[in-house]
Amino acid sequence: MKVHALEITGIGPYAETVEIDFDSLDEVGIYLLTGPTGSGKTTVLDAISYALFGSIPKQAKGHEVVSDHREISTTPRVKLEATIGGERYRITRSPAHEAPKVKGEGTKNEGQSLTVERRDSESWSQLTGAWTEGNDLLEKRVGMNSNQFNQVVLLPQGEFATFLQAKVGERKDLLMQLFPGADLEWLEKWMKQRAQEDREARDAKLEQIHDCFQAVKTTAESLVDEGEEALPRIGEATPALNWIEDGEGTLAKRHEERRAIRDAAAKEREQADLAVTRLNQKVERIAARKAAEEEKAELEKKAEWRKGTTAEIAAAEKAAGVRGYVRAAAELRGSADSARTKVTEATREIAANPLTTDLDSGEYSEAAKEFGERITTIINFESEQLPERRRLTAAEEELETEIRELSDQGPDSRIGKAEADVERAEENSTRATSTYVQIRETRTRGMAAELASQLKAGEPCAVCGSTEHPSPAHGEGEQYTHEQEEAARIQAEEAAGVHAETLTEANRIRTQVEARRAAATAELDTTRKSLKSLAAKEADLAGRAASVAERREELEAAVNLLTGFSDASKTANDAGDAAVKAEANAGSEATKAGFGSLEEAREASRDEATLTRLKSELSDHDERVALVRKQLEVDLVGVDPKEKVDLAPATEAAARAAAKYEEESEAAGVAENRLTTFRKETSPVAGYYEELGPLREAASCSSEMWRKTNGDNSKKMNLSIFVLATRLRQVIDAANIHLQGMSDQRYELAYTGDLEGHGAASGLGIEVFDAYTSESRPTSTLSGGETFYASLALALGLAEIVKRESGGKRLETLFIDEGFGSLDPESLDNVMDVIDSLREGGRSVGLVSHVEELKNRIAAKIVVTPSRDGSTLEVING
Amino acid sequence: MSEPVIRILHTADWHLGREFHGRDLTSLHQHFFDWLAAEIESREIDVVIMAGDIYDRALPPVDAVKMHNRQLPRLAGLADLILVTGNHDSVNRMGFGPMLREGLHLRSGIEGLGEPVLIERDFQLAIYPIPYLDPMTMANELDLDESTHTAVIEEAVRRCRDDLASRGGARSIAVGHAFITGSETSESERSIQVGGSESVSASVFDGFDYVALGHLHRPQAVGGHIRYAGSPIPLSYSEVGAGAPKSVTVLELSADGSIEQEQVEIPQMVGMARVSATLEELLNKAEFKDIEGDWLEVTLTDSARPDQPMDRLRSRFENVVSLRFDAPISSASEREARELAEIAEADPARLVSTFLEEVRGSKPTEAEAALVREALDWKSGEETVS
Repeated sequence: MKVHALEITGIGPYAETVEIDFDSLDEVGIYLLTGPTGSGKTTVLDAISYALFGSIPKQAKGHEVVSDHREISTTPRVKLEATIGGERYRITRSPAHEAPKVKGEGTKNEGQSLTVERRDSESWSQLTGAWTEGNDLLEKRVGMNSNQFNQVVLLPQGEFATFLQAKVGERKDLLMQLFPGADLEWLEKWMKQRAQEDREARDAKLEQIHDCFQAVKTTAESLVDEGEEALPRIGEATPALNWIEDGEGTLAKRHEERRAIRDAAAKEREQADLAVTRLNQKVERIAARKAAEEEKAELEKKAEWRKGTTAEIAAAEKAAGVRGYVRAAAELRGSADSARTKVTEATREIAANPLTTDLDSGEYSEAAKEFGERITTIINFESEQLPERRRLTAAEEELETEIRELSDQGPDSRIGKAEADVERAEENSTRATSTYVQIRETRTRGMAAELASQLKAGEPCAVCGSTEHPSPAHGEGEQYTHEQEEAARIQAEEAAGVHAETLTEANRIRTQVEARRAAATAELDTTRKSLKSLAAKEADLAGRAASVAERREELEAAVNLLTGFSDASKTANDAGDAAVKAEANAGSEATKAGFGSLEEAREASRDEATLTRLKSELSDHDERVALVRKQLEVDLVGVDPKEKVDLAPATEAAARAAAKYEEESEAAGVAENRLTTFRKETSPVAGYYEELGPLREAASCSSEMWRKTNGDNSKKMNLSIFVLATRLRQVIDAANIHLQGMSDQRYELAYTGDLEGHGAASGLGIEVFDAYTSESRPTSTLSGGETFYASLALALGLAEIVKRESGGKRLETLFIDEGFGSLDPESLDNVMDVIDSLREGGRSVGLVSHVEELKNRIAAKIVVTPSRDGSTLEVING
Repeated sequence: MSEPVIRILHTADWHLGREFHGRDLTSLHQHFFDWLAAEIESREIDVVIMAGDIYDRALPPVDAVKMHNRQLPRLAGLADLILVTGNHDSVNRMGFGPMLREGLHLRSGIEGLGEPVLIERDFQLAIYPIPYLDPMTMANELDLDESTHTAVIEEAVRRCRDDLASRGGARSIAVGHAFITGSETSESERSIQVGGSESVSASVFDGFDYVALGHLHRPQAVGGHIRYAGSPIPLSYSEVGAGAPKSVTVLELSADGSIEQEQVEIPQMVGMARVSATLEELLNKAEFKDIEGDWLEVTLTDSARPDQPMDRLRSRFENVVSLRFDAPISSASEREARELAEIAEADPARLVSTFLEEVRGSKPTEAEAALVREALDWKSGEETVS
């Protein structure tokens, strides 16, 4: 990478724009960046770093990029032109800053911006205008990141001694930043995690095995004597599995034994129970005997009852036969009674009805007949006269309407319309006539005017012959032709004709209308008369009723009443007769059956339910008697009801036997349980042991890897440190080539992997080996000047290795920021020789220093001058 | 004074303030000045010409300045003293205020360029001092087209020659500080200009009877009348032992136009020598007896760098000032360097393998290698995702 030109505006101490043409300085090959402390020398280097990476090395410490000295309207900006990887780039970068608003007062915050352009033959083409994209692009092209760059191209002020004298931890961080590909810390972590996981898996498996054994602990304890270890060691498979086998065998045997004992107890219990049962049976029989004898006595007490009940049943059965007749008679009697009631009702209704109330019962049929005739009359009237009345009513209406219409002489009536026609025709005629007249007059006047116009004074007038013409006629506006006059005359004539016609017509109509009206009125009269006579007839027929229809209904109702009465009478008589007959029948049947009377028969009767009950009571009784007899004579013969039986001993014995059986049963159950449980819990164990094997191997393998990679080894070195250490050794080798020159072959840097002290992890130590004394010493023992060039050698070594890492990209520009002041003259010479040698091959080296001697030795300079308003910068090529 | 001869003593390249491999040279310089003063007196030298590099650097240490301030008046009291600044001296800093006196001429910069210092005896001698002029800064002031040494010196010489021409027949000496092409350098000269072409051809100094040059520390002639006086004491080991010993040049110009040169060897206060042998030989061989007190540059030829060499050498040679080794530095041989590079660039699996060998002495087992592969697969899976 080679820097060609740099332009800085409003950055750091530079309020305005300063430019540096590095190409012109490159011709010299070495130049000095000089100026008082704090004037802005380092800013020049920072600007290069900023242009490439968007950040400056010290930014973290709060150094502002944007200049405090700048005018607010000055845009802070860095513009760098450089060749990177063979291509020419122009990078313009601007930090976030306050800028004046385009419109109005005040400022607004402008964000950071970046433009990256590349030169293709004749022109610049933009590659990107995006900050992050540009950063990535540049980092790739440059081949290193900001950290690396600031360690390798811009050898930083006073800081590369840091690398030389850093503690292992700091050096590690720096190396990891510079060689990110060497990071294997993740592998250390991965191994640690993995070892833990494997260990946990193995332990979990052991836990499983342990749990199996724990589950049978109590059982196991039962197999050994007090104080002995119940459970085996589970570390090894074979002894544990053997133990399981033995245990199971013992438990099975015990289970067998227990079962035998239990079965024997069962048998004993059976027998004891049997004895008890037998005794119980005996007791029962004694009790039964006693009970039977008692019952017999009871039954004998009821003999009387038996007799009575038997008789009752017989009588009821007899009465049942008669009951049919009795019931029939009763029914008929009922019907007769209700028929009689009906007759009474009909009589009452007749009395209530005004038409019939005055009649005797003998007059009923006569009255009915008369009423019937009257009804017929009304019906006839209705069927004939009523339609006639409807017709007449309709006609009346029509005539009334017509008369009304005819009387109307309004504008809508015939007359009215005819009158209107007349009026219109009259108007037209008048108009036409006046028009004609007007035209004629006008013409006449016109003629007169024409004639008048031809009048000459002294000449006679054509009309009157006068030679004086005092007031000649004037023409008036409009002149009409003869044709027009004629047309108007015809129109007027026609109009008059029309008018006359309409008049005639109107008259005709009037006459017509009048005639019709008279006729209609006469008709109306006739119709009304007819209606009146109809109405009179009806009234007559209706009598007191409102209408004939009503009257008819009244008459019909009366007729119904009368016929109804006669029917009811007949029915009641018939029913009465039938009842009497039936009653007589029933009486005779009762006698036949043996009863003194019907009454008797009724009394003896019992309903079904009662009868059934009595019968069953009787049969129950008889049954019991038979049973008791059997018991006494057959079943319980020989049994002494007074015998005493003692159940207690047998019961006790049975209880004991039962209890024993329970015990033994339980014990057998326990033994079986133990066996089953043992088998179940220990069955997976063999499988677990098989699984354990590989888990143990894996755990041991990963544990070893974890420990080794994490520093538990003979060198106390982590894997990541090891990798970094190889890099460090490379760097040291590269550094020593320069250091030999600078120290006149006296010093070389040596890699040390020794413990740093307090057992801290080692692996990234640097010592100084003094060839004069053949001794190594810590780098802190170097003098100021020696530290400077040792650090410089180290930085150059770093630069070479980083360069190799980043694809060997050429780094043609190198800056060294300060440090020269600590060198003695000879060392300064040596260092300058080394720097000189760096120039060979086209590199250019920029030194930042305030050392006077260098000002003298190095002709090409960039001189930075501070002032109150910011710094300025001048390039002196000489 | 009417004298048939003018005696000139030509010296140069004192480099006051310089260190010699860390050793202070003050006492050696003092020794030289004492001798010089004596020589000037005894040989009746008229003019001492000092051709540049009075100091070793632009900002000399206080002791050097003190010596300068004491010795120059001393010498000036004995003869005319003409000094030009060389490329080591700071043009701006050569302040002479307290010491200005008759007979002490210092030229630095372009002031007085072309004006001679005139020495009158039976004949006239014009001495033209041409100090070292930095082409970059001077080309402008001299209004030149090129900013090269050649152009600058040519212009300076031109002015001198113009002046000489106006003096009709005067003898002339030019004093300059330059690097003539083809001359022998030592390790101790600093490049006359950092960058750019340094040398000028001898012909630029044509036209003078003698050219007294400074800059190169080995006393040498460049074609007869052009000469480097050389530094009075060795400033590097390359000047020791090989070829000409340290000297001043004494000229005798006679009225008849002849110039006689004499190289007067400068007795050295301390011996300096380079010696190259094995440590054993050095410690034991008698042949080194003579140099036991000298300031030595010892090159140990042992095939491997010996142990504690400095202490052991100093037991016999107390002034070992520079120690060098034929044997290479102990850190990585080429093979080791290659191995390191291989390791550094190896893939992670190989790194782990190498690591395990290193820290526990055995390569990874099958199971361990499989574990590493698994880890790498996991990592590449992670990286694909992110």
